Amino acid sequence: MTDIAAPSAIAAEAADRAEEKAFGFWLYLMSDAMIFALLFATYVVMMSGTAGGPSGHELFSLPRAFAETMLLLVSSTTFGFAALAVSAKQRGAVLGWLLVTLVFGLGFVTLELQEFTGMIAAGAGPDRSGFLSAFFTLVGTHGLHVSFGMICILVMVGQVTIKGLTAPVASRLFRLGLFWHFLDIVWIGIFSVVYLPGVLLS
Amino acid sequence: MSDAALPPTVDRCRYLVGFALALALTVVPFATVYWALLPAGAALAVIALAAVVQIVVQLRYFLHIDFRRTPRENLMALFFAGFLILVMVGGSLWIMFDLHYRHRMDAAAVHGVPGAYGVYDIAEPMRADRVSQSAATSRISPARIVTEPAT
Repeated sequence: MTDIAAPSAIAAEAADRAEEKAFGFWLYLMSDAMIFALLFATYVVMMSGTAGGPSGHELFSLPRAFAETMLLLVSSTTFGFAALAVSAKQRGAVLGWLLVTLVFGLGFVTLELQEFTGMIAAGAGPDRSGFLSAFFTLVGTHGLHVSFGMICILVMVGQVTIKGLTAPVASRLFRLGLFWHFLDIVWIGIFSVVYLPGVLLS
Repeated sequence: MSDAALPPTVDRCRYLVGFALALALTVVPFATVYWALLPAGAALAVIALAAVVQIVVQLRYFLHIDFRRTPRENLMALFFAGFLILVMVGGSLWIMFDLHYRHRMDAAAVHGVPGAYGVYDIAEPMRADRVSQSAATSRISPARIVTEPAT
């Protein structure tokens, strides 16, 4: 009974709960990975189904895909720095790194939207062929995830500003970090399955 | 990841090492394709290898997967997901490309041209009808269909 009031017991219980939540979030990420895996499989099956329309070789710009890769990779690293600042309880540094991450994420989404609108304007929208439907579904789903992640970063910037680095805020930031790093891994798949072979194989 | 916080061994240096490795593993396949350094087959092998290694690097350096510190149930979930992905993606590709191969043989039977229509060429109307019709009226003997090379 007296344990309940002991700060160490409360802290231990909070850590247990945070660990449970992290495990639940990990299961979500694994199931999300399966969604992406099946979108990848669909894309590979549909790759040759251009229906007389443009192929990846004609549509994809490798330098832009490379730039997108770099933006996400840098943003993944800066989110890592934000996580380190959370551990060190440096509120200002957390906010700074989160905003830097947000800027790189914004750069990524901007490049992707530029690519999508350019393709649609050139008559290579998702309705043009099976190949393009699969392309927009796969890459668009990833882009939506990144956009949602950016909204979450904004929300967390607000929480860190208003609530400070409390235990729940730190635990949310940790899970958001898992999400953000996970999206970088999915993008490696897109770069390696969609863009590099698309440009390579005519 | 170990629990709801970073493992104590994680520092800025670790993220920078991960970043440098990921950068190298991105630049190598990019350069291979952009400057056409290798023939297509070898380039695809480089792309696949770099991608797999980079995924491992990112799991290790950014998500902090560690066989000793990461909780067992998280590792189990990770490997189970990997297994399911292999079965579902591998199985889908196997079945769909086998189907592709068979459709090409059907097209060869109808038109006498191997690979005249891919399985994805849905624009060709009433394919099923034409194929079944052709089975009755085909000029081509079944032996020819079997020996038709798939191109």
